[in-house]
Amino acid sequence: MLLKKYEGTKSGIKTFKVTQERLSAFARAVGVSSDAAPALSHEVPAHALDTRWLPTFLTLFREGDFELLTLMGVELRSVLHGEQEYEYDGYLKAGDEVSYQSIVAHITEKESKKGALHFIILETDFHLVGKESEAHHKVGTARSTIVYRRAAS
Amino acid sequence: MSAGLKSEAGVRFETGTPVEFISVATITLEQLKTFADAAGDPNPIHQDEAVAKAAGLPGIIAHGMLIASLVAQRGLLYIADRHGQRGMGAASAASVWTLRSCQTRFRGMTLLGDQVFVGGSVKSCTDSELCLELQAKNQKDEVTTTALMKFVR
Repeated sequence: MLLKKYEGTKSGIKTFKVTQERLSAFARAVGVSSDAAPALSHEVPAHALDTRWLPTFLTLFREGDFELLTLMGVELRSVLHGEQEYEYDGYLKAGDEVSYQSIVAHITEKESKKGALHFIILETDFHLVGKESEAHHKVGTARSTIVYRRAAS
Repeated sequence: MSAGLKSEAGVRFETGTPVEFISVATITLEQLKTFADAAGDPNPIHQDEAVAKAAGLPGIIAHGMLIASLVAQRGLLYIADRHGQRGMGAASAASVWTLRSCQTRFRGMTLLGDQVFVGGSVKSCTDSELCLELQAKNQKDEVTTTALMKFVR
Protein backbone atom coordinates (compact mmCIF):
# COMPACT_ATOMS: atom_id res chain seq x y z
CA MET A 1 0.00 0.00 0.00
CA LEU A 2 3.07 2.21 0.11
CA LEU A 3 2.60 3.52 -3.41
CA LYS A 4 -1.16 4.13 -3.23
CA LYS A 5 -0.57 7.51 -1.59
CA TYR A 6 0.90 8.80 -4.85
CA GLU A 7 -2.43 8.61 -6.69
CA GLY A 8 -3.23 12.10 -7.95
CA THR A 9 0.41 13.24 -7.96
CA LYS A 10 1.27 15.29 -11.05
CA SER A 11 4.50 15.76 -12.94
CA GLY A 12 5.79 19.14 -14.01
CA ILE A 13 4.37 20.66 -17.21
CA LYS A 14 6.67 20.11 -20.20
CA THR A 15 6.60 21.59 -23.67
CA PHE A 16 7.94 20.43 -27.04
CA LYS A 17 8.15 22.09 -30.44
CA VAL A 18 7.19 19.67 -33.20
CA THR A 19 9.42 19.92 -36.27
CA GLN A 20 9.23 18.33 -39.69
CA GLU A 21 12.63 16.79 -38.94
CA ARG A 22 11.29 14.93 -35.88
CA LEU A 23 8.17 13.81 -37.74
CA SER A 24 10.29 12.54 -40.65
CA ALA A 25 12.72 10.75 -38.32
CA PHE A 26 9.83 9.01 -36.57
CA ALA A 27 8.23 8.12 -39.90
CA ARG A 28 11.49 6.51 -41.05
CA ALA A 29 11.83 4.63 -37.76
CA VAL A 30 8.37 3.05 -38.05
CA GLY A 31 8.67 2.36 -41.77
CA VAL A 32 6.22 4.92 -43.10
CA SER A 33 8.81 6.40 -45.43
CA SER A 34 11.76 4.06 -45.53
CA ASP A 35 12.97 0.89 -47.15
CA ALA A 36 12.99 -0.86 -43.78
CA ALA A 37 9.33 -1.82 -44.03
CA PRO A 38 8.14 -1.33 -47.62
CA ALA A 39 4.84 -2.99 -46.78
CA LEU A 40 4.10 -0.03 -44.50
CA SER A 41 5.22 2.79 -46.79
CA HIS A 42 2.41 5.34 -46.99
CA GLU A 43 4.20 7.26 -49.74
CA VAL A 44 3.17 10.42 -47.94
CA PRO A 45 5.33 13.44 -48.88
CA ALA A 46 7.42 14.75 -45.96
CA HIS A 47 5.69 18.14 -45.87
CA ALA A 48 2.31 16.43 -45.47
CA LEU A 49 3.34 14.29 -42.48
CA ASP A 50 1.43 14.86 -39.27
CA THR A 51 0.44 12.66 -36.35
CA ARG A 52 -2.71 11.44 -38.09
CA TRP A 53 -0.27 9.21 -39.99
CA LEU A 54 1.96 8.76 -36.94
CA PRO A 55 -0.39 8.17 -34.01
CA THR A 56 2.32 6.65 -31.80
CA PHE A 57 4.47 9.80 -32.14
CA LEU A 58 3.12 10.71 -28.68
CA THR A 59 5.57 8.16 -27.23
CA LEU A 60 8.16 10.93 -27.53
CA PHE A 61 6.53 12.59 -24.57
CA ARG A 62 7.05 10.16 -21.71
CA GLU A 63 9.28 12.28 -19.46
CA GLY A 64 6.33 12.98 -17.18
CA ASP A 65 5.82 9.23 -16.72
CA PHE A 66 9.49 8.68 -15.88
CA GLU A 67 9.51 11.68 -13.55
CA LEU A 68 6.58 10.23 -11.58
CA LEU A 69 8.02 6.70 -11.43
CA THR A 70 11.33 8.11 -10.14
CA LEU A 71 9.46 10.23 -7.60
CA MET A 72 7.69 7.08 -6.35
CA GLY A 73 11.03 5.32 -5.93
CA VAL A 74 10.19 2.79 -8.64
CA GLU A 75 13.32 1.28 -10.14
CA LEU A 76 13.00 1.56 -13.91
CA ARG A 77 14.83 -1.76 -14.41
CA SER A 78 12.06 -3.50 -12.41
CA VAL A 79 9.18 -2.36 -14.55
CA LEU A 80 7.38 -3.74 -17.59
CA HIS A 81 5.35 -1.68 -20.03
CA GLY A 82 2.08 -3.62 -19.85
CA GLU A 83 -0.31 -1.51 -21.93
CA GLN A 84 -0.34 1.76 -23.83
CA GLU A 85 -3.50 3.52 -24.86
CA TYR A 86 -3.95 6.75 -26.80
CA GLU A 87 -7.14 8.74 -27.26
CA TYR A 88 -7.07 11.37 -29.99
CA ASP A 89 -9.00 14.62 -29.98
CA GLY A 90 -6.75 16.35 -32.50
CA TYR A 91 -3.32 16.00 -34.06
CA LEU A 92 0.14 17.58 -34.20
CA LYS A 93 1.87 18.99 -37.27
CA ALA A 94 5.23 20.66 -37.85
CA GLY A 95 5.37 24.04 -36.15
CA ASP A 96 2.97 23.13 -33.36
CA GLU A 97 4.11 23.44 -29.75
CA VAL A 98 2.62 20.85 -27.43
CA SER A 99 2.41 20.99 -23.64
CA TYR A 100 1.88 17.89 -21.55
CA GLN A 101 1.61 16.82 -17.95
CA SER A 102 1.34 13.37 -16.41
CA ILE A 103 -0.63 12.22 -13.37
CA VAL A 104 -0.63 9.02 -11.32
CA ALA A 105 -4.19 8.02 -12.20
CA HIS A 106 -4.55 4.68 -10.42
CA ILE A 107 -2.50 2.08 -8.56
CA THR A 108 -3.54 -1.46 -7.72
CA GLU A 109 -1.39 -3.88 -5.77
CA LYS A 110 -1.37 -7.66 -5.64
CA GLU A 111 0.67 -9.73 -3.22
CA SER A 112 2.63 -12.67 -4.57
CA LYS A 113 5.29 -14.98 -3.17
CA LYS A 114 7.92 -13.06 -5.09
CA GLY A 115 6.82 -9.73 -3.66
CA ALA A 116 4.26 -7.05 -4.32
CA LEU A 117 3.04 -6.57 -7.88
CA HIS A 118 1.90 -3.05 -8.68
CA PHE A 119 -0.14 -1.94 -11.69
CA ILE A 120 0.52 1.77 -12.08
CA ILE A 121 -1.65 3.72 -14.52
CA LEU A 122 -0.15 7.02 -15.64
CA GLU A 123 -2.16 9.49 -17.72
CA THR A 124 -0.76 12.30 -19.81
CA ASP A 125 -2.87 15.04 -21.39
CA PHE A 126 -1.60 16.89 -24.45
CA HIS A 127 -2.57 20.42 -25.47
CA LEU A 128 -1.55 22.87 -28.19
CA VAL A 129 0.36 25.80 -26.69
CA GLY A 130 -1.09 29.20 -27.58
CA LYS A 131 -4.42 27.71 -28.67
CA GLU A 132 -5.93 27.40 -25.19
CA SER A 133 -8.85 29.66 -26.08
CA GLU A 134 -9.76 27.54 -29.09
CA ALA A 135 -12.18 24.65 -28.93
CA HIS A 136 -9.79 22.13 -30.46
CA HIS A 137 -6.67 22.74 -28.42
CA LYS A 138 -6.68 19.28 -26.85
CA VAL A 139 -4.54 16.85 -28.82
CA GLY A 140 -5.30 13.76 -26.79
CA THR A 141 -4.56 11.59 -23.79
CA ALA A 142 -1.98 8.85 -23.28
CA ARG A 143 -2.57 6.11 -20.70
CA SER A 144 0.37 3.87 -19.74
CA THR A 145 0.04 0.76 -17.59
CA ILE A 146 3.33 0.05 -15.87
CA VAL A 147 3.80 -3.28 -14.09
CA TYR A 148 6.22 -3.02 -11.19
CA ARG A 149 7.38 -5.91 -9.03
CA ARG A 150 8.90 -4.87 -5.75
CA ALA A 151 11.00 -7.67 -4.31
CA ALA A 152 9.90 -9.06 -0.94
CA SER A 153 12.20 -7.73 1.76
CA MET B 1 -20.30 8.91 -60.04
CA SER B 2 -18.07 8.10 -62.98
CA ALA B 3 -16.99 4.57 -63.69
CA GLY B 4 -13.59 3.63 -62.32
CA LEU B 5 -13.74 5.95 -59.33
CA LYS B 6 -14.32 4.39 -55.95
CA SER B 7 -17.25 5.75 -54.07
CA GLU B 8 -16.51 6.40 -50.41
CA ALA B 9 -19.93 5.09 -49.52
CA GLY B 10 -19.24 1.99 -51.61
CA VAL B 11 -16.35 0.85 -49.41
CA ARG B 12 -17.82 -1.47 -46.83
CA PHE B 13 -16.22 -3.02 -43.80
CA GLU B 14 -17.93 -6.13 -42.45
CA THR B 15 -17.57 -7.45 -38.93
CA GLY B 16 -15.25 -10.43 -38.96
CA THR B 17 -13.52 -9.58 -42.23
CA PRO B 18 -9.89 -10.67 -41.85
CA VAL B 19 -7.07 -8.14 -42.02
CA GLU B 20 -4.44 -10.23 -43.78
CA PHE B 21 -1.25 -10.93 -41.83
CA ILE B 22 1.69 -9.41 -43.67
CA SER B 23 5.38 -9.27 -42.82
CA VAL B 24 6.10 -5.69 -41.79
CA ALA B 25 9.67 -5.91 -40.49
CA THR B 26 12.63 -8.04 -39.53
CA ILE B 27 14.12 -6.37 -36.48
CA THR B 28 17.64 -5.09 -37.13
CA LEU B 29 20.02 -3.24 -34.82
CA GLU B 30 19.95 -0.32 -37.24
CA GLN B 31 16.17 -0.11 -36.94
CA LEU B 32 16.33 -0.21 -33.14
CA LYS B 33 18.93 2.59 -33.11
CA THR B 34 16.84 4.66 -35.53
CA PHE B 35 13.76 4.19 -33.32
CA ALA B 36 15.71 4.95 -30.13
CA ASP B 37 16.84 8.27 -31.61
CA ALA B 38 13.45 9.14 -33.09
CA ALA B 39 11.48 8.24 -29.95
CA GLY B 40 14.03 9.58 -27.48
CA ASP B 41 14.42 6.21 -25.72
CA PRO B 42 18.11 5.51 -25.09
CA ASN B 43 17.55 2.44 -22.85
CA PRO B 44 20.58 0.21 -23.65
CA ILE B 45 18.59 -3.06 -23.38
CA HIS B 46 17.41 -2.20 -26.91
CA GLN B 47 20.94 -1.73 -28.29
CA ASP B 48 23.57 -3.47 -26.16
CA GLU B 49 23.55 -7.26 -25.80
CA ALA B 50 25.74 -7.29 -22.67
CA VAL B 51 23.40 -4.88 -20.86
CA ALA B 52 20.32 -6.82 -22.02
CA LYS B 53 21.73 -10.13 -20.74
CA ALA B 54 22.81 -8.53 -17.46
CA ALA B 55 19.17 -7.45 -17.07
CA GLY B 56 18.10 -11.10 -17.36
CA LEU B 57 16.88 -10.87 -20.96
CA PRO B 58 17.71 -13.49 -23.60
CA GLY B 59 19.30 -10.76 -25.74
CA ILE B 60 18.56 -7.37 -27.24
CA ILE B 61 14.80 -6.77 -27.32
CA ALA B 62 12.81 -4.38 -29.51
CA HIS B 63 11.08 -1.36 -27.98
CA GLY B 64 7.46 -2.25 -27.22
CA MET B 65 6.45 1.05 -28.77
CA LEU B 66 8.24 0.16 -32.02
CA ILE B 67 6.05 -2.93 -32.36
CA ALA B 68 3.01 -0.91 -31.29
CA SER B 69 3.88 1.62 -34.00
CA LEU B 70 4.18 -1.07 -36.68
CA VAL B 71 0.78 -2.45 -35.65
CA ALA B 72 -0.81 1.02 -35.77
CA GLN B 73 0.70 1.68 -39.21
CA ARG B 74 -0.72 -1.62 -40.50
CA GLY B 75 -4.17 -0.61 -39.27
CA LEU B 76 -4.00 2.86 -40.85
CA LEU B 77 -2.81 1.43 -44.16
CA TYR B 78 -5.54 -1.23 -44.18
CA ILE B 79 -8.14 1.55 -44.03
CA ALA B 80 -6.30 3.75 -46.56
CA ASP B 81 -5.90 0.87 -49.02
CA ARG B 82 -9.57 -0.03 -48.86
CA HIS B 83 -10.33 3.56 -49.86
CA GLY B 84 -7.58 3.71 -52.48
CA GLN B 85 -5.93 6.53 -50.54
CA ARG B 86 -2.38 5.32 -50.01
CA GLY B 87 0.03 8.14 -50.80
CA MET B 88 -2.63 10.83 -50.71
CA GLY B 89 -1.65 12.34 -47.37
CA ALA B 90 -3.39 12.32 -44.05
CA ALA B 91 -6.11 14.82 -44.84
CA SER B 92 -7.80 12.71 -47.48
CA ALA B 93 -7.80 9.56 -45.36
CA ALA B 94 -9.00 11.52 -42.36
CA SER B 95 -11.96 12.75 -44.38
CA VAL B 96 -13.33 9.21 -44.30
CA TRP B 97 -12.23 7.68 -40.98
CA THR B 98 -10.46 9.41 -38.09
CA LEU B 99 -8.49 7.42 -35.53
CA ARG B 100 -10.17 8.00 -32.17
CA SER B 101 -8.20 5.62 -29.95
CA CYS B 102 -5.55 2.95 -30.05
CA GLN B 103 -5.09 0.52 -27.17
CA THR B 104 -2.06 -1.76 -27.21
CA ARG B 105 -1.22 -4.67 -24.90
CA PHE B 106 2.32 -6.01 -24.69
CA ARG B 107 2.22 -9.80 -24.23
CA GLY B 108 5.68 -10.97 -25.19
CA MET B 109 9.11 -9.76 -26.18
CA THR B 110 10.32 -9.24 -29.73
CA LEU B 111 14.01 -10.05 -30.09
CA LEU B 112 16.65 -8.70 -32.43
CA GLY B 113 16.36 -10.67 -35.69
CA ASP B 114 12.70 -11.60 -35.15
CA GLN B 115 10.29 -11.20 -38.04
CA VAL B 116 7.12 -9.21 -37.29
CA PHE B 117 3.79 -10.07 -38.92
CA VAL B 118 0.71 -7.92 -38.35
CA GLY B 119 -2.91 -8.76 -39.13
CA GLY B 120 -6.25 -9.41 -37.45
CA SER B 121 -9.84 -8.63 -38.27
CA VAL B 122 -12.60 -6.04 -38.35
CA LYS B 123 -14.03 -6.33 -34.83
CA SER B 124 -17.10 -4.19 -35.45
CA CYS B 125 -18.39 -1.65 -37.92
CA THR B 126 -21.34 0.74 -37.96
CA ASP B 127 -22.02 3.79 -40.12
CA SER B 128 -20.07 5.97 -37.70
CA GLU B 129 -17.58 3.68 -35.93
CA LEU B 130 -15.07 1.09 -37.09
CA CYS B 131 -12.99 -1.08 -34.77
CA LEU B 132 -9.98 -3.15 -35.85
CA GLU B 133 -8.57 -5.94 -33.68
CA LEU B 134 -4.93 -6.48 -34.60
CA GLN B 135 -2.08 -8.72 -33.49
CA ALA B 136 1.67 -8.77 -34.00
CA LYS B 137 3.16 -12.26 -34.25
CA ASN B 138 6.73 -13.46 -34.59
CA GLN B 139 8.11 -16.13 -36.96
CA LYS B 140 7.10 -18.81 -34.43
CA ASP B 141 3.47 -17.63 -34.67
CA GLU B 142 3.62 -16.37 -31.07
CA VAL B 143 1.47 -13.30 -30.36
CA THR B 144 3.67 -10.54 -28.94
CA THR B 145 1.32 -7.57 -29.08
CA THR B 146 -2.42 -7.00 -29.46
CA ALA B 147 -4.19 -3.76 -30.30
CA LEU B 148 -7.65 -2.30 -30.70
CA MET B 149 -7.93 0.66 -33.07
CA LYS B 150 -11.16 2.62 -33.03
CA PHE B 151 -12.00 4.94 -35.94
CA VAL B 152 -14.94 7.33 -36.20
CA ARG B 153 -16.49 9.41 -38.97
